Amino acid sequence: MSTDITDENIAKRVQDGDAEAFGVLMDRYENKLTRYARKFLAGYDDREDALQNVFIKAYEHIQGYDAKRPFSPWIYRIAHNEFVNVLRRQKREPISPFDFDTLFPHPIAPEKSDTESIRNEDEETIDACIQEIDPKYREVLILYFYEELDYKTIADILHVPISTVGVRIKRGKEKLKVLCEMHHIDL
Amino acid sequence: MTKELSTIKEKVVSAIESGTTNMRPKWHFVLRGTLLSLGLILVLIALLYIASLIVFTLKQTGLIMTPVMGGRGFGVFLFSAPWLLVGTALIFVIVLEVLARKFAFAYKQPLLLSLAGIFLVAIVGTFAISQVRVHEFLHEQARGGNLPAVGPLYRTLDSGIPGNVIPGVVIDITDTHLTLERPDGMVDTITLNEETHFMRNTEPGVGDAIVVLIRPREDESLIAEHIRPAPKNGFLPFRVTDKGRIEDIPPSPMK
Repeated sequence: MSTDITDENIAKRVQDGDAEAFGVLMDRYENKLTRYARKFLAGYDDREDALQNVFIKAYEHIQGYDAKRPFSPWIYRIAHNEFVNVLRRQKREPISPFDFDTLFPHPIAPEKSDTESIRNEDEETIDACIQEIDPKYREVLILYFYEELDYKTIADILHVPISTVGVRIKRGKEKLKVLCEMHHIDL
Repeated sequence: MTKELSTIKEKVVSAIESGTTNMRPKWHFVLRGTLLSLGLILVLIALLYIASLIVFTLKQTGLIMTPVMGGRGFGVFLFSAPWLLVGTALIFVIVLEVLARKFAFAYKQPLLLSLAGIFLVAIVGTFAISQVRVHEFLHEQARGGNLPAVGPLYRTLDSGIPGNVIPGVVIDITDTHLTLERPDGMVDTITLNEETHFMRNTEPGVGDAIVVLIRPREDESLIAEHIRPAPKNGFLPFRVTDKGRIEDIPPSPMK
């Protein structure tokens, strides 16, 4: 299938009954979602099962996808739900059902192109630092710095206000910086 | 990693081909969205009903006037306000917020903003319901025995707050006594004395709808502490007497 065809058009084909087209969507998102799972669920056993469930649920729910809207946030949303379920099931890290970050309006911090400054560092060390951060900060850092998604897309995935994404990224970076300093890395 | 990926893809494709994994039909999602929207609307209607019932209760019992009747009036308000209804309304606000946050229009907003939006809708809706006088209509039906389910709830509102607040229409007034007909038809004689506070030092006249904060005495007589005119569209409009509807009695100007 041509690479010019958008994800949305392929999803539409799947909705119209072309089940094989779903394989193309899988090809396009396997790497991204595997990276997301590997970094967000590092150290968890159920990673591969969770990833498989993401694609199975995406297929089962594809008729609920609105092809007029971007496909990427939709499948990332499924992945987010599935991965958070893994965290909840294993109870190794507390996941609060209520997040005070979503309570108040926050000024939106400007998006910066500092992705490279983090990616250029020793990835294994950064990964080790990220794993020590609270999941709600870890997830936005992964989506922003590794998946290179913008605030709006991340907000659509997490179902939180855009300003909350900005706040979490800011706080997550601060926490990451402290942890990296402990590992003698300058960010 | 490549091996892992192909394994996942193979498993998913195999599940699809074998029919273990099936695409849910579109109507499933349409139905779910419709039920969710319907639930949201029903909870909103319930919230508006309860919020407007709170206001109606406050007006019907005369409690709405007690916060401006001095410290004891405020205390009576705090003690006698329909907190059960208020608590129920707050539960409905939370349920509404939880349901609304399934929709982008709500989850894209900070929680406080969407809650403020719900409160605003509740206030505007309550005002609108007050204007069309839904509860007055239901109250009249309850008085006629036509509302078996919620009739008793409405009828209990007609006796004010026993021992503390009496709403009613003045049917006689002297320098020392006030005769008041309550919404439930009972007549009370209330003593006026030099400590009775009138709004802007004006005494009510016959036919006026008023709210009286009383202080019961051991001899069972009632002393008026504060007297205020009843709120507009207050507690009496549907009570029928042998003179006709109470609201048809022309109120006398305050002296």
